[in-house]
Amino acid sequence: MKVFKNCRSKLDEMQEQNLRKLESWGFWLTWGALLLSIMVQMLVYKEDAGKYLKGEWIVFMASNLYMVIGCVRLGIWSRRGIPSFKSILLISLLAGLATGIFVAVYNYLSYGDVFTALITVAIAGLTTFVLCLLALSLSLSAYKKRRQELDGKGDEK
Amino acid sequence: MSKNLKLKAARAERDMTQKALADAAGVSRQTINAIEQGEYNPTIKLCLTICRVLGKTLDELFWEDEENESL
Repeated sequence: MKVFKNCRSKLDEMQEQNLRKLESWGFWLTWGALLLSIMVQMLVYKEDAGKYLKGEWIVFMASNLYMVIGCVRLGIWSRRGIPSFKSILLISLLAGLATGIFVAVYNYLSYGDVFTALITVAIAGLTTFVLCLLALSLSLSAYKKRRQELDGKGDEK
Repeated sequence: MSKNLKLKAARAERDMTQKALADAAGVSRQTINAIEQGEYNPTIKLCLTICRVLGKTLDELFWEDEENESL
C-alpha cells in the first residue's frame, strides 16, 4: 500500500544506528528523571504521595517490565553484570540499602522521630531486599532457561 | 579504527565524489565520509554494496593488517 511505502525508513544504516543510540539515551534519561521525580514528589507530598503518583508509578513499572521481558526474550542479562546468584544478592543488598536510606529521610521529614525512622528503615530495607532478590531470582531463572533455548537453536554442523 | 585510505583511493580512481558513491550505494554522504575517516564500521552488506559499485573485492577495500585492526 502507498501509505506504508511512504513510511519506510529514509535513514541509512549509520544514521539508523545513531538514532537508536540517541533513543536509548533518551529512554534512560527519561527513566532516571521519572524515578527522581517520583522520589522528590514522595518527599514533598509525604502521606498524600500515593494519591498523586499513581500515573507515574504505573508508567515507571510498565517500562521496567517491558525491559525485563524484552531482555529475557532476547536472552540478554545485562551489558556488564554477571548472571549469578552472588551478583543478584549484591544488587538486592544495594537496593535494600538505598531504599532504607530514602525511607529514613522520608519518614524523618514526615514524622520528625528518629526512632520510628530507624525502625521503618530496617523494615523497608529488608522488604526491598527480599522482594528484589525474589524478582531477580525469577528473572535469572527465566533468563537461563531462555539462554538454553536460544543456544540450542540451529544446526551446529 | 584507522582511516580507510583504500576506499578513498578506489573512489578517486573512478573519479567519484563521496556524494556520487553515497548515491550509488544508497546511503548518505555523511556515512561514506565516516567510513573513510574510520569513524564508522559498516555492515558486511554495505561493504559488499560499496565493493560492487567500485568494482573491487572486500579484501581490496576493507582488509586490514593485524596492527591496524581495532574496534
